[in-house]
Amino acid sequence: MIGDKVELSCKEAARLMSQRQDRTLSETEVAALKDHLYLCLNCRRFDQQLDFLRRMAKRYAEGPISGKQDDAT
Amino acid sequence: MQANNLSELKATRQELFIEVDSHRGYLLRYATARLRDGVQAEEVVQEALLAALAGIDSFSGQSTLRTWLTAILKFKIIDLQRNLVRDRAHFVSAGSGDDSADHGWLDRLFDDTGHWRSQFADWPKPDQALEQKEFFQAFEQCLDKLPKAAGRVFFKREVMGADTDEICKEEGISSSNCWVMLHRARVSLRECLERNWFMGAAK
Repeated sequence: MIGDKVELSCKEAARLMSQRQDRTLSETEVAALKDHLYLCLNCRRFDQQLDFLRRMAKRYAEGPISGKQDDAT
Repeated sequence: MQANNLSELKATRQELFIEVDSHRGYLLRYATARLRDGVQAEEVVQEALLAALAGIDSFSGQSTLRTWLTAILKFKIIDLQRNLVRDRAHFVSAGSGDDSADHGWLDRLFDDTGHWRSQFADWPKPDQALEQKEFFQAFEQCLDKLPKAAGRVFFKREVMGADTDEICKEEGISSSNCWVMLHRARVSLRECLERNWFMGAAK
Protein backbone atom coordinates (compact mmCIF):
# COMPACT_ATOMS: atom_id res chain seq x y z
CA MET A 1 0.00 0.00 0.00
CA ILE A 2 2.30 2.74 1.28
CA GLY A 3 6.07 2.93 0.89
CA ASP A 4 7.83 -0.41 0.77
CA LYS A 5 4.75 -2.49 1.43
CA VAL A 6 3.79 -5.10 -1.09
CA GLU A 7 0.36 -4.97 -2.61
CA LEU A 8 -1.10 -8.35 -3.42
CA SER A 9 -3.57 -9.33 -6.08
CA CYS A 10 -6.35 -11.73 -5.08
CA LYS A 11 -4.57 -14.41 -7.04
CA GLU A 12 -1.39 -13.97 -4.99
CA ALA A 13 -3.35 -13.63 -1.76
CA ALA A 14 -5.18 -16.90 -2.46
CA ARG A 15 -1.88 -18.65 -3.06
CA LEU A 16 -0.53 -17.37 0.26
CA MET A 17 -3.70 -18.31 2.15
CA SER A 18 -3.33 -21.82 0.86
CA GLN A 19 0.40 -21.99 1.60
CA ARG A 20 -0.16 -20.63 5.08
CA GLN A 21 -1.61 -24.06 5.82
CA ASP A 22 1.53 -25.79 4.62
CA ARG A 23 4.49 -23.59 5.52
CA THR A 24 5.39 -20.62 7.69
CA LEU A 25 4.98 -17.40 5.75
CA SER A 26 7.65 -14.71 5.91
CA GLU A 27 6.94 -11.51 7.83
CA THR A 28 6.53 -9.58 4.59
CA GLU A 29 4.06 -12.15 3.32
CA VAL A 30 2.09 -12.10 6.56
CA ALA A 31 1.87 -8.30 6.53
CA ALA A 32 0.89 -8.10 2.88
CA LEU A 33 -1.75 -10.77 3.31
CA LYS A 34 -3.17 -9.06 6.38
CA ASP A 35 -3.52 -5.80 4.48
CA HIS A 36 -5.16 -7.52 1.58
CA LEU A 37 -7.65 -9.42 3.72
CA TYR A 38 -8.59 -6.25 5.53
CA LEU A 39 -9.75 -4.75 2.26
CA CYS A 40 -11.06 -7.76 0.36
CA LEU A 41 -14.29 -9.46 1.40
CA ASN A 42 -14.06 -12.15 -1.27
CA CYS A 43 -10.64 -13.22 -0.05
CA ARG A 44 -11.84 -13.26 3.56
CA ARG A 45 -14.58 -15.66 2.53
CA PHE A 46 -12.09 -17.78 0.66
CA ASP A 47 -9.91 -17.88 3.76
CA GLN A 48 -12.81 -18.96 5.97
CA GLN A 49 -13.70 -21.65 3.50
CA LEU A 50 -10.12 -22.95 3.42
CA ASP A 51 -10.29 -23.12 7.17
CA PHE A 52 -13.51 -25.04 6.90
CA LEU A 53 -11.91 -27.53 4.47
CA ARG A 54 -9.26 -28.24 7.05
CA ARG A 55 -11.77 -28.88 9.83
CA MET A 56 -13.81 -31.00 7.46
CA ALA A 57 -10.84 -33.21 6.57
CA LYS A 58 -10.03 -33.75 10.24
CA ARG A 59 -13.61 -34.68 10.98
CA TYR A 60 -13.61 -37.00 7.98
CA ALA A 61 -10.56 -38.80 9.36
CA GLU A 62 -12.28 -39.35 12.69
CA GLY A 63 -15.42 -40.67 11.09
CA PRO A 64 -18.82 -40.63 12.71
CA ILE A 65 -19.00 -41.13 16.46
CA SER A 66 -20.26 -44.70 16.80
CA GLY A 67 -23.70 -44.99 18.25
CA LYS A 68 -24.46 -41.29 17.96
CA GLN A 69 -26.81 -41.56 15.05
CA ASP A 70 -27.65 -38.29 13.46
CA ASP A 71 -31.08 -38.68 12.04
CA ALA A 72 -30.72 -35.56 9.98
CA THR A 73 -32.40 -36.36 6.73
CA MET B 1 -18.61 -43.48 27.13
CA GLN B 2 -18.59 -45.42 23.95
CA ALA B 3 -18.42 -48.83 25.55
CA ASN B 4 -22.20 -48.95 25.70
CA ASN B 5 -22.36 -48.12 22.07
CA LEU B 6 -20.03 -50.95 21.35
CA SER B 7 -22.19 -53.52 23.11
CA GLU B 8 -25.09 -52.21 21.11
CA LEU B 9 -22.87 -52.53 18.12
CA LYS B 10 -22.20 -56.12 18.87
CA ALA B 11 -25.91 -56.86 19.06
CA THR B 12 -25.71 -59.05 16.05
CA ARG B 13 -22.88 -60.14 13.84
CA GLN B 14 -24.78 -58.75 10.90
CA GLU B 15 -25.08 -55.23 12.38
CA LEU B 16 -21.46 -55.25 13.36
CA PHE B 17 -20.47 -56.19 9.86
CA ILE B 18 -22.54 -53.38 8.39
CA GLU B 19 -21.10 -50.83 10.81
CA VAL B 20 -17.51 -51.84 10.08
CA ASP B 21 -18.15 -52.05 6.36
CA SER B 22 -19.58 -48.52 6.28
CA HIS B 23 -16.00 -47.26 6.63
CA ARG B 24 -14.81 -49.13 3.56
CA GLY B 25 -15.01 -46.08 1.27
CA TYR B 26 -12.87 -44.01 3.60
CA LEU B 27 -10.33 -46.78 4.11
CA LEU B 28 -10.13 -47.39 0.39
CA ARG B 29 -9.28 -43.76 -0.24
CA TYR B 30 -6.73 -43.87 2.53
CA ALA B 31 -5.07 -46.98 1.11
CA THR B 32 -5.16 -45.63 -2.42
CA ALA B 33 -3.44 -42.43 -1.30
CA ARG B 34 -0.70 -44.50 0.23
CA LEU B 35 -0.30 -47.24 -2.35
CA ARG B 36 -1.36 -45.47 -5.57
CA ASP B 37 -2.78 -48.73 -6.79
CA GLY B 38 -6.47 -49.42 -6.72
CA VAL B 39 -6.20 -53.19 -6.77
CA GLN B 40 -3.64 -53.37 -3.98
CA ALA B 41 -5.73 -50.90 -2.01
CA GLU B 42 -8.83 -53.11 -2.33
CA GLU B 43 -6.88 -56.11 -1.14
CA VAL B 44 -5.33 -54.42 1.81
CA VAL B 45 -8.64 -52.89 2.92
CA GLN B 46 -10.30 -56.27 2.69
CA GLU B 47 -7.59 -57.74 4.88
CA ALA B 48 -7.88 -54.92 7.37
CA LEU B 49 -11.66 -55.25 7.61
CA LEU B 50 -11.42 -58.99 8.17
CA ALA B 51 -8.77 -58.47 10.82
CA ALA B 52 -10.93 -55.83 12.46
CA LEU B 53 -13.96 -58.10 12.59
CA ALA B 54 -11.87 -60.91 14.01
CA GLY B 55 -10.39 -58.64 16.65
CA ILE B 56 -13.40 -56.44 17.40
CA ASP B 57 -13.22 -57.34 21.09
CA SER B 58 -10.01 -55.38 21.37
CA PHE B 59 -11.74 -52.21 20.22
CA SER B 60 -11.85 -50.23 23.44
CA GLY B 61 -14.13 -47.45 22.27
CA GLN B 62 -11.62 -44.83 23.36
CA SER B 63 -11.28 -43.63 19.80
CA THR B 64 -13.86 -43.64 17.07
CA LEU B 65 -14.31 -46.85 15.14
CA ARG B 66 -12.83 -45.18 12.07
CA THR B 67 -9.65 -44.22 13.91
CA TRP B 68 -9.27 -47.77 15.14
CA LEU B 69 -9.86 -49.25 11.69
CA THR B 70 -7.35 -46.82 10.21
CA ALA B 71 -4.71 -47.98 12.66
CA ILE B 72 -5.24 -51.57 11.56
CA LEU B 73 -5.12 -50.54 7.94
CA LYS B 74 -1.80 -48.74 8.48
CA PHE B 75 -0.21 -51.96 9.69
CA LYS B 76 -1.58 -53.88 6.73
CA ILE B 77 -0.21 -51.25 4.35
CA ILE B 78 3.23 -51.39 5.93
CA ASP B 79 3.19 -55.19 5.65
CA LEU B 80 2.24 -55.01 2.02
CA GLN B 81 4.88 -52.40 1.20
CA ARG B 82 7.51 -54.48 2.90
CA ASN B 83 6.49 -57.49 0.82
CA LEU B 84 6.48 -55.46 -2.35
CA VAL B 85 9.99 -54.22 -1.74
CA ARG B 86 11.14 -57.72 -1.03
CA ASP B 87 9.41 -59.26 -4.05
CA ARG B 88 10.23 -56.76 -6.70
CA ALA B 89 13.06 -54.76 -5.23
CA HIS B 90 11.85 -51.73 -7.10
CA PHE B 91 9.22 -49.06 -6.73
CA VAL B 92 7.38 -47.19 -9.39
CA SER B 93 8.08 -43.52 -8.82
CA ALA B 94 5.57 -40.72 -9.20
CA GLY B 95 7.02 -39.05 -12.28
CA SER B 96 4.10 -39.37 -14.65
CA GLY B 97 0.69 -38.08 -13.75
CA ASP B 98 2.19 -34.79 -12.63
CA ASP B 99 -0.56 -32.32 -13.35
CA SER B 100 0.95 -29.30 -11.68
CA ALA B 101 2.29 -27.82 -14.91
CA ASP B 102 -1.19 -27.01 -16.11
CA HIS B 103 -2.09 -23.51 -14.99
CA GLY B 104 -5.37 -23.26 -16.88
CA TRP B 105 -7.29 -23.76 -13.67
CA LEU B 106 -5.89 -20.50 -12.28
CA ASP B 107 -6.95 -18.56 -15.35
CA ARG B 108 -10.47 -19.82 -14.93
CA LEU B 109 -10.50 -18.37 -11.42
CA PHE B 110 -8.74 -15.05 -11.89
CA ASP B 111 -8.80 -12.41 -14.60
CA ASP B 112 -5.68 -10.83 -16.12
CA THR B 113 -5.35 -8.35 -13.25
CA GLY B 114 -5.43 -11.15 -10.67
CA HIS B 115 -8.94 -10.46 -9.42
CA TRP B 116 -11.46 -13.20 -8.72
CA ARG B 117 -13.76 -13.70 -11.66
CA SER B 118 -16.70 -14.43 -9.41
CA GLN B 119 -17.88 -13.34 -5.98
CA PHE B 120 -18.23 -15.96 -3.27
CA ALA B 121 -21.34 -16.33 -1.22
CA ASP B 122 -21.28 -16.99 2.50
CA TRP B 123 -21.89 -20.68 3.10
CA PRO B 124 -24.98 -21.24 5.16
CA LYS B 125 -24.28 -23.12 8.42
CA PRO B 126 -21.05 -24.86 7.47
CA ASP B 127 -20.67 -26.46 10.90
CA GLN B 128 -23.98 -28.22 10.61
CA ALA B 129 -22.73 -29.86 7.45
CA LEU B 130 -19.96 -31.51 9.48
CA GLU B 131 -22.64 -33.41 11.39
CA GLN B 132 -24.24 -34.87 8.32
CA LYS B 133 -23.33 -38.15 6.71
CA GLU B 134 -24.65 -36.93 3.36
CA PHE B 135 -22.24 -34.02 3.43
CA PHE B 136 -19.28 -36.37 3.63
CA GLN B 137 -20.67 -38.37 0.74
CA ALA B 138 -20.71 -35.14 -1.26
CA PHE B 139 -17.13 -34.49 -0.13
CA GLU B 140 -16.02 -37.96 -1.26
CA GLN B 141 -17.54 -37.34 -4.68
CA CYS B 142 -15.70 -34.03 -4.94
CA LEU B 143 -12.47 -35.67 -3.82
CA ASP B 144 -12.81 -38.34 -6.49
CA LYS B 145 -13.21 -35.68 -9.17
CA LEU B 146 -9.80 -34.14 -8.48
CA PRO B 147 -6.83 -35.01 -10.68
CA LYS B 148 -5.42 -38.21 -9.15
CA ALA B 149 -2.18 -36.75 -7.84
CA ALA B 150 -3.87 -33.66 -6.40
CA GLY B 151 -6.47 -35.81 -4.64
CA ARG B 152 -3.79 -38.03 -3.20
CA VAL B 153 -1.70 -35.12 -1.96
CA PHE B 154 -4.73 -33.41 -0.41
CA PHE B 155 -5.73 -36.63 1.32
CA LYS B 156 -2.25 -37.10 2.75
CA ARG B 157 -1.93 -33.50 3.87
CA GLU B 158 -5.37 -32.78 5.29
CA VAL B 159 -6.93 -36.13 6.12
CA MET B 160 -3.85 -38.04 7.21
CA GLY B 161 -2.19 -34.89 8.55
CA ALA B 162 1.20 -35.63 6.97
CA ASP B 163 3.58 -32.71 6.64
CA THR B 164 4.54 -31.34 3.27
CA ASP B 165 8.16 -32.54 3.37
CA GLU B 166 7.04 -36.09 3.96
CA ILE B 167 4.56 -35.89 1.10
CA CYS B 168 7.11 -34.39 -1.29
CA LYS B 169 9.50 -37.21 -0.57
CA GLU B 170 6.88 -39.89 -1.10
CA GLU B 171 5.58 -38.32 -4.28
CA GLY B 172 9.01 -37.42 -5.60
CA ILE B 173 8.09 -33.77 -6.19
CA SER B 174 9.45 -30.39 -5.06
CA SER B 175 7.88 -28.39 -2.22
CA SER B 176 6.65 -25.70 -4.56
CA ASN B 177 5.11 -28.34 -6.75
CA CYS B 178 3.43 -29.79 -3.72
CA TRP B 179 2.03 -26.39 -2.67
CA VAL B 180 0.62 -25.83 -6.13
CA MET B 181 -1.09 -29.21 -6.06
CA LEU B 182 -2.54 -28.55 -2.63
CA HIS B 183 -3.73 -25.13 -3.64
CA ARG B 184 -5.37 -26.55 -6.69
CA ALA B 185 -7.04 -29.31 -4.69
CA ARG B 186 -8.39 -26.85 -2.13
CA VAL B 187 -9.69 -24.46 -4.75
CA SER B 188 -11.42 -27.28 -6.62
CA LEU B 189 -12.91 -28.81 -3.50
CA ARG B 190 -14.17 -25.43 -2.36
CA GLU B 191 -15.87 -24.93 -5.68
CA CYS B 192 -17.27 -28.43 -5.84
CA LEU B 193 -18.70 -28.36 -2.30
CA GLU B 194 -20.23 -24.98 -2.93
CA ARG B 195 -21.93 -26.21 -6.06
CA ASN B 196 -23.00 -29.61 -4.82
CA TRP B 197 -23.78 -28.89 -1.22
CA PHE B 198 -23.93 -25.35 0.05
CA MET B 199 -25.71 -23.79 -2.89
CA GLY B 200 -27.43 -26.97 -3.95
CA ALA B 201 -30.53 -28.63 -2.65
CA ALA B 202 -29.00 -29.92 0.55
CA LYS B 203 -28.89 -27.94 3.75
